[in-house]
Amino acid sequence: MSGQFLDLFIIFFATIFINNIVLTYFLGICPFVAVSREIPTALGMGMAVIFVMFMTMAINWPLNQLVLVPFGVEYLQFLVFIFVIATFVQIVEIFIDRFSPVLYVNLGVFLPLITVNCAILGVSLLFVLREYTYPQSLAFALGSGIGWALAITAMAGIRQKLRFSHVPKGLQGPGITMIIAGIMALAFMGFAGMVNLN
Amino acid sequence: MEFFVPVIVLSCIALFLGILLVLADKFLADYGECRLIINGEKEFTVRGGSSILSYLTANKIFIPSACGGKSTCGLCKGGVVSDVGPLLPTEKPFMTPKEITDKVRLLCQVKVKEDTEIVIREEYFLVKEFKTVLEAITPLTHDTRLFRFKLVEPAEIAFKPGQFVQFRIPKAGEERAYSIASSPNSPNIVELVVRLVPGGLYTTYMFNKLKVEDTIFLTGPFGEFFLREDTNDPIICVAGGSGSAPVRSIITYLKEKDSQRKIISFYGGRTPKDIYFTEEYNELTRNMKDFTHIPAISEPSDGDSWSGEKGLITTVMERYLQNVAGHEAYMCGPPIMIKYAYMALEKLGIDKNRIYFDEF
Repeated sequence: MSGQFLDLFIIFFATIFINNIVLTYFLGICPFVAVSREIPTALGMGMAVIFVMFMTMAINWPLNQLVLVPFGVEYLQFLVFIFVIATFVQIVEIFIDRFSPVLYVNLGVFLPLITVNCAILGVSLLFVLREYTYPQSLAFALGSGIGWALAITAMAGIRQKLRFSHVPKGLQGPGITMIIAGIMALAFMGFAGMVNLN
Repeated sequence: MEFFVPVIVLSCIALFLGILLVLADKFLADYGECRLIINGEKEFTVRGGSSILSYLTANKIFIPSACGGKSTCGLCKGGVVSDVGPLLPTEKPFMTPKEITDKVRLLCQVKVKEDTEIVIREEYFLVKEFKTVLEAITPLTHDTRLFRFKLVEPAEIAFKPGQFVQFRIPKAGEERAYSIASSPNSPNIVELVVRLVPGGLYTTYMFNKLKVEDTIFLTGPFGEFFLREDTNDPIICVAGGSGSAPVRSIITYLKEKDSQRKIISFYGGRTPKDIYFTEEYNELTRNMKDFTHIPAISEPSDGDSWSGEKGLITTVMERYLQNVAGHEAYMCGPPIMIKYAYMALEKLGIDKNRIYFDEF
């Protein structure tokens, strides 16, 4: 039992730090660059992604294992996963619109665009590829979401500080952000070797 | 049978997700019945969730909003008394520090989620929607036309000379504001001066699609730019582009009421072919006690048969005006023209509070 728990913890920990979805796989880079100007907005986006990732995994796994595989229609995976993601993005949108209009405006078009965020679809496809069990998948999704939120919040923190430094004109905005993302990825590589996920 | 498996599977999944969404919509997006209280006197019960502006429009209270709720025009300002959360980033660019402390918001951006109390200007209650028929289109210059609308329902409009109406193209979400060029003494017609903006949605529509006898809806009147009638001080009018419209309304109105006020009016165009209403202003000059109209062109060329003033409108103004203390000024035109004319008048000694302007 404790072995199984350790296994889940390793997946969870590894997806946050070692195999961080944005910094090692470069999935979900688009909102990562676009809405990382301020910490509160980045944090809001991070929360939305955690929620959507976790909930879609909670539904996608049973859908895949109990419906798609038994009926032999695995080729519908893409379609079904995107359906589920789109549904939860809608729910998140309704929720944020109700409880935080400022966040709603700040996230703007990037909120509905979570639907086509490759990190979220990536997570749903990777669990199939890696043949995770249900608890493993959930730990993986939660870890990936937290990892993404951590990365974007850290990036927003750096960019807030960056506002007072002299960035060469040609690099301002997305340019310097990509460079910072590269350096952050290098820093996260320092965790490599602690545990290994394949 | 094999063939139907994916169809059935997919349909079932879609149904399940659909139900999920309906439930979310029911429990999260349903704000129930909310009361919208306006100026403490009017009250509407609405089904929450949409913007304040949309409920006001639905209840026939018309707030100026040229962009149709996209937060690009910044016209639909109103005070929101109830706590509806902080100012949104979409509203900030339109607000002065004083407006922020006064809790002024853009009504198109604030949604009704619970009982909400707002304060709007009293005159908005007077704004109506007019069903009109396009009666005539008169070309004024190569790119400017005069559109005359006959009011059908209500048959008359009460406005102050200088104010504007909003024009709505059927089926388009947006509206455009145009100053009324006709006099309030002809309450059953509204004339608008429209200059073709290359590539502009509205002007292209008005120039190419609109035909005489078409039915068009106008809302109005709106605007703080109008003739002040509590004084008999001399008037300076400055106009450029299609800004001649409100000035024409003001001067025609003054002529009709046989006003004795001294009026000097400047109109700036680029070339002689930009100058319009010439005959009309000549007629007014003949029939009014003390009216001078000075058209000027800023880009004269050798081939022109132009005998009038040349130069930027500000230079021309300085030629005609000396000390303008005690004058009132009405200016209408492109922002850059207003800016420099304002500075010129200030230099000539006018009281800043008596310069009224409308930027196009």
